[in-house]
Amino acid sequence: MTDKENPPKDYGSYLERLWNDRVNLPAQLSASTNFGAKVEILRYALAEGESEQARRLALLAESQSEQEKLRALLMENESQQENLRALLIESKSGQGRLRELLGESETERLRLNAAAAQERIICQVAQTHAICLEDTLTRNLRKPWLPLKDALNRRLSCVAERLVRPFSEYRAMRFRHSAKKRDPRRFMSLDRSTQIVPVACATNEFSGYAVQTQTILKRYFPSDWRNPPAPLHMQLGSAALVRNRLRAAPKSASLPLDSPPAFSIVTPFYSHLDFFSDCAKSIAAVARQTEQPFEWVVFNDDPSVADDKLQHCIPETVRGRTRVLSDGQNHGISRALHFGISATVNSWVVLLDCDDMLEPNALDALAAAINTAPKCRYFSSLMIDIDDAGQELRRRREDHQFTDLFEAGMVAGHMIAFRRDLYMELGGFDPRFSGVQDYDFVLRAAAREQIQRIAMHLYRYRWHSNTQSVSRLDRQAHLTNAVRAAFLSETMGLRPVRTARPPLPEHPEIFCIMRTQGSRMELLAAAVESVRAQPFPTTPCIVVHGDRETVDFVRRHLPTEFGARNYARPAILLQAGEINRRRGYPCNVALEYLRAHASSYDLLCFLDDDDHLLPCFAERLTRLIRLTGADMAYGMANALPKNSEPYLQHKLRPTLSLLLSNFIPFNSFLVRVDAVLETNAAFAEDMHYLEDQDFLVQLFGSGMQTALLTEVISEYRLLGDGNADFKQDPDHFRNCQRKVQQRAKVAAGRLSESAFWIDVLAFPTQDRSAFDEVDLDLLHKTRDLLTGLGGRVE
Amino acid sequence: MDALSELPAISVLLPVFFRHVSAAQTRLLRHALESVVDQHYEGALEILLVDDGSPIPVQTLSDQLGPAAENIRWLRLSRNNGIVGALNVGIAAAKSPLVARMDADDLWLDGKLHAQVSQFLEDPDLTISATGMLRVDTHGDEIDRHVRPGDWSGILRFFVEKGCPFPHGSIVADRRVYRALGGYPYSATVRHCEDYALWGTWLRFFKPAMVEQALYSYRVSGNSVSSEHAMQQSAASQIVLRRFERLKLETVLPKMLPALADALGASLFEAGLLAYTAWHFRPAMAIPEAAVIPLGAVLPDRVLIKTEAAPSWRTALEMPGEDNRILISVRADSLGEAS
Repeated sequence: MTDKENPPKDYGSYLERLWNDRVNLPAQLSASTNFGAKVEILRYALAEGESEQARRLALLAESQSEQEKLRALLMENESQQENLRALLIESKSGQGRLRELLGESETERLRLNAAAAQERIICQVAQTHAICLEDTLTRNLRKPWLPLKDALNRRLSCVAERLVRPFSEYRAMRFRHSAKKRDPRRFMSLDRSTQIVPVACATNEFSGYAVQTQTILKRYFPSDWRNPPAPLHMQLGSAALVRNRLRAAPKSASLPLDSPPAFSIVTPFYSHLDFFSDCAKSIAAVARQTEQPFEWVVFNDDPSVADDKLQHCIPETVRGRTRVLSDGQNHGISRALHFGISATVNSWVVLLDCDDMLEPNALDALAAAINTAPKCRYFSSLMIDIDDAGQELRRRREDHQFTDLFEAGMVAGHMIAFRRDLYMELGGFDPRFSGVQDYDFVLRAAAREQIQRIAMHLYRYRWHSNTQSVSRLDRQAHLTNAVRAAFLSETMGLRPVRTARPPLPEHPEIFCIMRTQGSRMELLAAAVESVRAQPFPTTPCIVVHGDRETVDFVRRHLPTEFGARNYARPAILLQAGEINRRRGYPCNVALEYLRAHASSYDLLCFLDDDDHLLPCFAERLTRLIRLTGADMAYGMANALPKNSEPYLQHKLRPTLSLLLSNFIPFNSFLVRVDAVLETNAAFAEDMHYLEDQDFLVQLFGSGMQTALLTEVISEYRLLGDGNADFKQDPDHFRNCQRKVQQRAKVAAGRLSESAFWIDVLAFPTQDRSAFDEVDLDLLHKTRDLLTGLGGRVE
Repeated sequence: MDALSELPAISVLLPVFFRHVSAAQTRLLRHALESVVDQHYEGALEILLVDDGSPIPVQTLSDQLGPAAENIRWLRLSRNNGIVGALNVGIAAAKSPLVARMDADDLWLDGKLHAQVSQFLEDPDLTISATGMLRVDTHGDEIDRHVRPGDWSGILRFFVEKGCPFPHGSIVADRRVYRALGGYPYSATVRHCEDYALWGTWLRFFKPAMVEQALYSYRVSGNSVSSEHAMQQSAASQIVLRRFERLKLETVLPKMLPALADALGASLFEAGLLAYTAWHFRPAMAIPEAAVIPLGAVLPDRVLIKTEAAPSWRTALEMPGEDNRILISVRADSLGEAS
């Protein structure tokens, strides 16, 4: 098998070797035999080898064919690979396209998102406007169907009144009363101040500006914060007064400066160390650009931050012109500004908060404005709102004129730049209004002389996240209203001028006029007892409206009151004997007595026989008169129904609204005798109703100074006709109303317009519940009456 | 507390109205009186029992009230004035510098007066002290205990967040403040929560404290004033609460009222009195310049308007002496805002 397996490779040389060995025949024979055998074997092996070769060739062929096949397959594979490569390339290009598409769709998505955000904001703006509209509608027309319903009811009541009049005057009166109550106008707008005082405000268009504003509101204001309602005087139109005053402000009478302006930028520092570097850099940028002479004064009002730290934030280029001042204490913004401004040396002061920035051209623009208007001593500019990161949020527009300052709030800053002499003349910033001191300052400045705005954005104002809490915003709103109240009183001069009267003695003598017809003696006894319980010497003056017999009847039933034995000040008993005269008559009888004995008494009060004074009456009202120097003081009274709980029938209102409708019960005021007698006021003797209002209208018309006390100091029973809704003599009641109206017109004619505003400003609105439509309507009418606007008097 | 003379005199104000004479009510009154006497207060103590016009005078029951009745000063009103009238008559009649409140069916627990008078002695600025409360049912069994924070800020916070911090029958208070405020308010709008309304004003201007222990036992009965008029009381309380809450004075007062006193050179009581007078009566008065800011902070619902020359604050408060510093005349006017 070895030979088979290893056949000789060179048969020729092998046979030649055998030929050379032929001499040894046997051996050769043997060898030939062997050789033959070997040849056979070789042949066999050859055959076998050939067969093997053939097989192998076959195998080779097969393998070749296989190879061919494989090659074909390979070719095929390669072509497939090519295809695949082509596909891959194709897919790559597709992928690129997809990527492009994806990018496009992402862009589209972002665009849509931005659009959606804008839509949302627009929606919010719309919602806000809708709420405003709803609010306005609600205020103007609370429940629109009610006026219609009322108009219908009113019509029906009028018809019913005519139908039943021939049969029953009482029923007719009730229908008439019902018709009167159904006046549809009671639902109509009471917010006439908005009609009288149109306030310039941002346009309603959904502009980018409105969107930016909404963004700021959304980012920096708590969602649950609502702007509080305007103060009462603004609801009644005080803004118009102020606008007129600001419009009438003269041009500055000051002389222009002799030399070119030089500036002192003043920065009170507190807390915002992280933003102070930006602030300082903005000063450096100003310094790089401007040729104007300026210094920078930083007053460090934050004891927790060392001056070195501030110095460290200030760029080298401006250190030479910067001073950091401090006394290691916290003084609050107004005083910090005062200290900073006091340290300045230049004629113009520019305020810059420590977290805000000046634009590089600020001083150049200011200098140019000063050059143009050399007498103007206060300039503001427009400002750019920025966020914590310094990104611009909004560029403010000139939405408001300076004449709108009162109602629009602080629209005259930032930037705030003023001459030092103006600052000195106005007495600087007022620490009472720390937080809104600049608003107070500019209001006073604008009332003094005309101020100007540079129509350029020269200041960057920074909004901070999480700093506008509800309580902080409320406080800001309260302070703003405090500034307004102070402005009206101090700058506009709307404050009471008290008549100088001699001070009351330590224990004033009180004269209490009590009218009776002798019909409710047990109640009269209780009333007298309440007079006796007063801590000051009080003399009850009981006027009996009746005949001699009635007077004796009263005397008998109050046996201890009239003698000096029991009381140091026995009661005085007077008779008002003319029965036909009405309820004012007995009061006049007592007033005559008082006039004759004026020197014996200091104070006067009234009391009907079914009512009583509370023990605190005299002491509290006398204290009020003493403290305020008023001629008259009044408080509140509980109404006592027959079968239910006491309640407050009349809420307090500004006093002069009494000209149109009474709210001061007869037994709830105390008035100086000298002031009353001076007016020569007397009760109408032909009025069964409203004679007390008529008397008070006379007092107020003569300029009597009043003070009100938000305390209950007396009580009255709801027994008589006077307090009832339905009067027993409705025709006479209407007559009485007309008489009082006439008296009110006369009284109003004697009072000045400012009397109304002084009265409104003095009223403690926060000590009573909010004014409703009816109250406000009455106050509007009072204003119209006193300001001669021809308001309808009812 | 060592020397008898150092202890302030106390008038215990106890208004009583017995519509009917009953054994149960008489017994409760006796127990109430005994609980007062059992305090063994070493200073002067009077029990001022104001009979608010009971049909049968309560004094006729004095022999059934035990030995405690000997300490009673009787005051009878000819007709029923209601709780406010009775309390105010009692305050006007009280002679002691401290007035303690007590109700006819409640009890003081041991050590109550001692703990409260100690607070007054330790802090001369204190004007009112109350204690925690143990509520019991009609059988005298404990229902629960209420102990409130004792410090100034804590009391103000409780007032704003929860409601009335003082169990009425537990208070011991400065008679001067009672009188300065005009006593309990008569207004029908705060009917049945007149004490809460009074504290609403008191706490705005005067310093309080509480003993953080339940030393007062309050009997919850079906026909007590509070139960009968719970709804009206709740509505009126809400008004008082909202008004106080709006002011945000919880942290301001304990800081700014002493600052006002410093600026005036006056006691804390006088500073509170000045602030109250300025707020309530709104007179023009001249105050030191340094007092303007703290007074403004104490009166966030007013604005200090500068006026023409006005009498000095000492004159307004009827205090002797003159303030010779440079004074500024101001008046605390309204902001014009709705309540």
